[in-house]
Parts: sequence; structure tokens; C-alpha cells
Amino acid sequence: MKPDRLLQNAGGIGVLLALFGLWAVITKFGLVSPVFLPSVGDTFGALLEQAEDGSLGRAVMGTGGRMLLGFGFAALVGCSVGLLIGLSPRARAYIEPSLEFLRPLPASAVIPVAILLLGLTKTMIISVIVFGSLWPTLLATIQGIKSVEPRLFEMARTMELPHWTVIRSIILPSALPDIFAGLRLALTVSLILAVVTEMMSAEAGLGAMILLAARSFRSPELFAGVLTLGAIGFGINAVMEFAQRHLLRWRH
Amino acid sequence: MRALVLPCSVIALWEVVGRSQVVQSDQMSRPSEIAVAGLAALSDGSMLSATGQTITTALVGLLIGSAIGISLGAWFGLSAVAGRLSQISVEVFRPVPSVALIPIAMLAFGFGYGMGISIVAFACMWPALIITQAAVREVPGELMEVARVLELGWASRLFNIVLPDAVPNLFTAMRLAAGISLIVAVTVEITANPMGLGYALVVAQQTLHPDTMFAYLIWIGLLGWLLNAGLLQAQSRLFGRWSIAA
Amino acid sequence: MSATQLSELRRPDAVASRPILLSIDKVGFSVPAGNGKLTILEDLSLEVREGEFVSIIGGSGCGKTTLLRLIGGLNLPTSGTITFDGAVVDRPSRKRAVVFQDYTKALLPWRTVVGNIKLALDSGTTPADTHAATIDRLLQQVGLSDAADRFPRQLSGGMQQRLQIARCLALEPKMLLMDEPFGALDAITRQNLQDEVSRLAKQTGMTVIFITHDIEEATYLGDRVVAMESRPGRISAVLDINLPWPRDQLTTREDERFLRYRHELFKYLPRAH
Repeated sequence: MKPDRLLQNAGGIGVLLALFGLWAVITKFGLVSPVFLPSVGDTFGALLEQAEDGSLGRAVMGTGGRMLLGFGFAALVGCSVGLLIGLSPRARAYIEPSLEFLRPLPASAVIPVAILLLGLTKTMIISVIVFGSLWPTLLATIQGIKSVEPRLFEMARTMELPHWTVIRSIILPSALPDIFAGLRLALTVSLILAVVTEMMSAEAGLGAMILLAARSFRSPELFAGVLTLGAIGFGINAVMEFAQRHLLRWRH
Repeated sequence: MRALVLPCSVIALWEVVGRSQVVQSDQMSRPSEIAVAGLAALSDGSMLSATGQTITTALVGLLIGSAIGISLGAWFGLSAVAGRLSQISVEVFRPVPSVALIPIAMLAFGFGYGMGISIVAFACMWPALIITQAAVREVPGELMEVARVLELGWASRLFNIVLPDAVPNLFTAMRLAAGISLIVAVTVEITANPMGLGYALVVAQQTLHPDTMFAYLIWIGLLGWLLNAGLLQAQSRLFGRWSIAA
Repeated sequence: MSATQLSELRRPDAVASRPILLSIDKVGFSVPAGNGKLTILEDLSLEVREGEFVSIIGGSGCGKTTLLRLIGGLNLPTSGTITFDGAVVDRPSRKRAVVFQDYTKALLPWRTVVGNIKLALDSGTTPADTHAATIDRLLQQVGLSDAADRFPRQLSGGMQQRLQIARCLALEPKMLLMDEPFGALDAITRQNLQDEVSRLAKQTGMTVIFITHDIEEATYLGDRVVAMESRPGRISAVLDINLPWPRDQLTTREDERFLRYRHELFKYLPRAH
């Protein structure tokens, strides 16, 4: 790493540590009640305890597992159906306007519907997550296919490329940036929906854990859980960023 | 009008299946029943007052969040040092799901506007920050040269060169943040906050009134769509002659 | 093609004895417009022999690109027929490779130079273990050997166009269709590429149809120049170019015959009103 970058990162980390320091100072001098803001020490203490007695692990597996399951299924369906719809201008004409209407819908609004139909079950949670992650993926895939450079299709015709080659070597790589953006959005949505559904159904997970902690006024555990969720969000982001940089390196 | 074929056939199918009594009536409603329930909720004022609460929450949260986000974004964009130093902290705090803060807001504010507004503000802050930072940084070098040649002070530079160039992008940031504000406000109401459209949705579900529930669902969808369409229109009207930042 | 055959080809009268490869017979092309139709091309007839380099010139909108697309099989004529190598042209074919004008859009940005050429080879019938050698040879022919692992984005305009040409050559076509291939390039690059294409064509005995709006380029490169007029597109003149091969940017362009052809062709270009 060049010396500039090293200095930059060191400075950035320094600022982050300073913010944590600010947190410590505020709680030390009792500027905010410990009910709302636990001290740094208590928070990490609670985190350690949860890690040791396994509750943290179970919560992370619960939330993470459901999130990935729902997302994975939605990604698969969204990409394949998106491919089919995207390749057919007729299908697009019929289906796209309805999809565009669904785009701004808060995915969480279907949770009460799902609860009514499926009860407070794991199926309900997974269904909600799938529903929420499906649309960004579907829309992004269709968008990606729509925006393939038309000249490339002509080139493929003059080279007499078989249909399957056109899909595999031209359409999919061209659509990948859009599809990837859709997948990142879908992943974010699936995390949010996993947490919200837990809060409403009390399935074992981080969402339920922090809500319970809040209701019992146990702020260290609450903040420990929030930190964990933040770390999960951060981890997902980092992984996707890395994947994006590698897969789409031809763009830079 | 092929666009309408799909929705119309879905609604028609739904109505037919509903009348055939395949699914229990306390879990599902026919479109005709939903329409009736929706009109009832509109006319007795309950839907409108809930809408008002949600929109107030979303709007105030949006204003606070984007004010903070735009200010920070402008600072980080204009000052390369601030931009570099803040990057890691932004990357750490941004991915925290806003819903994770619901219990904290609950402790701090109790139920009510405070909870909703604070979480909406948090959620709207980040896109505003990031887009503003990028928009400010991308002010073309030539324009900044002009500023230097004319020896403009930082305030004059800000208001005469940077902001006008960045405004179309700022509008995009606001448009995205506005969409987020509505979604987050409704989400907080569904999860915990007993007010607004989200809460009305949950109440309808819990009291086994699927017709009212679906009516609210459709209403929320309509609101979101109208908001998005309206802002897009406004953007192309205002900045059509410039260029639209997608 | 043997060395003797090649040197024979260099004689100006040699092409006349070669078989006819492409036959355009009373071809017309119109599109529906408003209340009736817009005729873009009308009653075009032309024969092209194997190994010929035919330049087609004309003002904008005269339909020369449309003609190229018809020959390539990307569009079908609304009247008349085009015959290539004994068969009627009704669809695109690898035997009639097309070099597009907008080269950046015709290349795959996510593949390297080698990857782009591979696309042409993988879909062909040559055995896979010969591909690497073929790619090396082609890259040498167009002068891109040093850029083998670069992405199109990292190449200059001239290099991108050369990549497209290499990819077309990988198809082992019988005819090369080039649509104003050097229009977007600077003068020096243009001259270099003119010579490269000319050399490649004559070395391999390739038949080339070359569209341009530049009279001098057309004359410099061609065995024959076809001048088209606009609205509707028709052939107004066909000129045989009796200049020796290989051509040279300096001496050929000063040649008295070159200047006479240029003078003659100038008449067929539209005036700015």
C-alpha cells in the first residue's frame, strides 16, 4: 500500500476511534442516562457474554440464515424470470408497467398480509423476504437485458452465433452490472425484512433480541445487538464491493 | 394499452376466485370488498388522518436527514481532507440497517413522532451525504478555474458555482431520499410505532379485516408511486434543459 | 493463394479474369413512410469479382450503408436479388464479414483483445488447439501483438478498429464489408490503416467492399470506385482504377492518373447548396 493510502486509512481509523472515544466520554460523565446509552465497556461486556453463552451465535444464524435463504431463492427466480421477460419485447410490454408500479412499494407493507395468510411462522418470514428481494432483482435483470448494445446483436448475426452463445457471451455479461446492482439492493432489503419480521413474530434472531432487550431496559444488550447488525451490514457490503470490483474490472 | 392487461386480468381473476369461496373470508377479500372498505376508510377520515401522520413523519425526517446529509456531503466533497478522513467512519455507520435502531428510538423517544422521525432521518441521511459528496466533487475543473480567476471567496464560490452545478444531482439525491423516507416511515409504523398508515395496516390485520388491510396496502402503494412519478416529473420540468442525473 | 497468383493479381487487368463472387441484380430498398413509402435504393446492379477491392462513395443519405447491409444480409431488398457465391443472400453469413463504423459498440468491452477474437473462433469449425496460433498470427497481421491482454477501453480508436478487423478475419470470410471504417480516426491513423487493409486484402486475395465518403481514400484503395447519387440511391458511375500495386501514400497520390480519377469522381459528389 502506498504511503499516501496508508496515511489516509490511518487517519480514517483515527477519526472512527475518536468517535468511539466521544461515546466513552459521554457515558463516563453521565451526560446521557445509561438507560439510553450504555457505556462502551458494558456494551462490549454484553457482547462477550452473548458470544460465550451461544445466544449471539444462534441469533446471527437465525437472522442470517433466513436472510440468505430468502435472498438466494429470490435471486435465482428473479434472474431467471427476468431473463425470460427481458428477452421478449412482447412480455416486457405487458409486464413492465406493473413491475414499475410495484417498485416504490414498501416491502414491509406486505408483512401484515403475510401474517394474515400464513400466521407467525418461519414460512411467513421467508415468504416476505423472498417477496421483498424479488422485485429489485427482477427489475434490474430486465433493465440489464434491455440495455444491451443493439450493435452487438447485429455483430452476432453477421458471425452467425447460435442463440445460446448470444445469451451466454453477450447478453449476460452485458447485463451483469445492472443485475449486480439489483442484487446488492435485494440483499439490503432482505436484511431489513429479516430483522423486521423477527421483531414482529419473536422468532429467534437479532431483531427479536434487541427488541426484547429494549423492552426490558437492558441497553448494553440492545447496543451489542445493534453493533452486531451493523457489523453484518458492513460485512455484506464489503463482500459485495469486493465481488463487484473483481467481476466488473473491465469497466475501470 | 397492453400495460393494463395484466393488472386487469389479475383483479378479475381475484374477484372470481373470491366469489367461489376457495379461501376463508377472514384471510382474503375480493377486489369489490376492498374497494368498499377503502372508500369507507377514506370517507370516515381515518385513512386521511393516518396518511397525514405518515407523511408528516416522512417529511420531517426527510428534511432533517437530508439537511444533515447534504451539509456533511458538501463538506466532505469540498474538503478533500475531510472527505478522506471521514470515509472509513461513513463506511462503518452507513450499512447499519435503520430498522435496527427502532428499539433505541423506542427507549429514547417512546412511541410517537419522535421515533419515526429519528429513524427516517437516519435512513435519509446517507444517500443524501453520498450523492452530495460525489456531486460536489464532480464540479468540472474548468468551473473551479473560473472561480479562481475571478478570485471568488469560498461563500461566493459555493453559491455561484458549486451549488448551481450540483443542483440537478442534489435533486436526484432528494428524490431517492424521499422514496426512502416513505418506505422507512411505514416500516417503523408496521413494526412498532402505533400511528400512521403502517399501524392502520397492522390493526386491520390483527382485527381480521382483510378488506381494510388490502385497501391500505393499495393506498400505500399508490402513494409511493405518485410520489416517485411526481418527483420525476418535477425533475424533468426543472432541469430538463440541463441534464437528468439518473 | 500462391506467390505467382498474387503477383498476377497485382496487374491491373488481372481481376477481370477472376470469377464473379457477388452479383447485385436490379436491387431496390424502400421503407414505409407517412402515406406511402420512402425509396432509399433503386434499381442497383453491380458485379464484384473475387479478389476485387471495390470502393463505394456518395454523399450522406445516398444509401451506401443500406447497400452494405443488404449485401451483408442484415436487411432484405424489397426488389431484386443479391447473389453471393452462387446462392441468394437472405441472411447474414460468416463468409461476408462486416466491419462496423462504430467500432467501440461492436466490440465486447468485458473481453480482452484475445477474448474478442476468440468469440469468432469458438463459434467456428476450426479445432480448438489451433486457436492460440491463429490469434497470434492475426494480432501480428494487424499490429496488436503487444496489446493482447488489454480491454477495448484501454485501446485507442485506431487499435479498436484494428481489433474489429482482426476479429472479422478470424471468421475466414470470402468477403469483407467495411462501413466507413476509418471515418472517426485522425488523419495519420487513417493513412496507416488504409495501407494495412490494402496490404491484408492483396496478400490474402480477399474481396473487399469499402464504403467511404472520401474520394481520395476510395481511389487510393480501390480497383474500382462506384459513385452513388442520393434520393433515391442509384449508381451514377463506375470507374476502373488503373493504378499499380502496391499503392503508396506519397507517390500514388501524386500520380497523374490518381489526380485524373479524383477530378472525375469529384463531379459525382453532391454540392453544398
